[in-house]
Amino acid sequence: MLQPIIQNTYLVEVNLPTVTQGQNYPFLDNPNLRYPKIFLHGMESLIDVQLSKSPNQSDIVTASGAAGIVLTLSVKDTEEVFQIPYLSLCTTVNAGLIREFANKQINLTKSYITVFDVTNLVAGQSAAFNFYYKIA
Amino acid sequence: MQKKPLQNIDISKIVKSKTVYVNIFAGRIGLAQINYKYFFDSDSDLDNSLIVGCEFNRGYINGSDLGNFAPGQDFDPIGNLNAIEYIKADMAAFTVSLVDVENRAFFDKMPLTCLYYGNNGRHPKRMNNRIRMDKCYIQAFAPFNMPGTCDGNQIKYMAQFTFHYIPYVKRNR
Repeated sequence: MLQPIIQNTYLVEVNLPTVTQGQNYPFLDNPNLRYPKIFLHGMESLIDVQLSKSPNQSDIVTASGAAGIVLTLSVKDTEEVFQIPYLSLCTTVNAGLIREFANKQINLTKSYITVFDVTNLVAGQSAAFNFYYKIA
Repeated sequence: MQKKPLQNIDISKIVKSKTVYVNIFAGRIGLAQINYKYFFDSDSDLDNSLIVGCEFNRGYINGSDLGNFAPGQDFDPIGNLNAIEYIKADMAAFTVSLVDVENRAFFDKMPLTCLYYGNNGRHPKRMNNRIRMDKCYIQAFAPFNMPGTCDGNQIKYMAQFTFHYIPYVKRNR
């Protein structure tokens, strides 16, 4: 199966300063990915075996910790991708396949991750994503 | 002018591939450093070419120790040079940024593991960008171990990438 043709990628992290069950952790504003500048056509979540530290020197979540995280992506004000499991987007556990989206014009600052299970998550760790996008 | 996307390119049918190396040598900076950018060299074959695929090869370490990967999946055109070791165990520490001819990073901090062919179900990353090699770099966000034999004067530690590309043809108008 052919993979998508990637036009642009960007590594984005969401830091977990504290780990609380049920807590939402929003994405920070990013000028490169600001709404309505980009169309998201694919996404990949990262675990520690893929990237050991984030650009801000935080540890990346482990596979066992990531099992307790879900992702919500907003398009404008609507949560169009609601609570997709973090590991569903992880290529190392999905035969290398990138999860593709139908060119969603995402609103990053209204998108967030949610911790459902704090087991094996440590305060200070980061969740990291590769955004595959086209410029609008 | 809008670029026309190349759809359904089968990378296995791309005739042009080139393996290039990024040198991480202690002599340049004194010590291996986090956040430091290690740049690719300019490459006359790849500059301006349309890159349609990219892979990170872990390469051999002294011609052996391929771990779980069979010979042939990684390759080493240089041969068994004892002076060279490749990023392998440390690859999760590194990211790569690839820059196009418009000076824009179209791959921004992509983990090497995501480009590692053997790590991703044999699915190489596909792309469609004209590259500017000397602006591309790898960068580590975690501590990594330089080979113990590094003395600061010789090239020792390298990252090995293979680019699949359609060559740039300069037209006379």
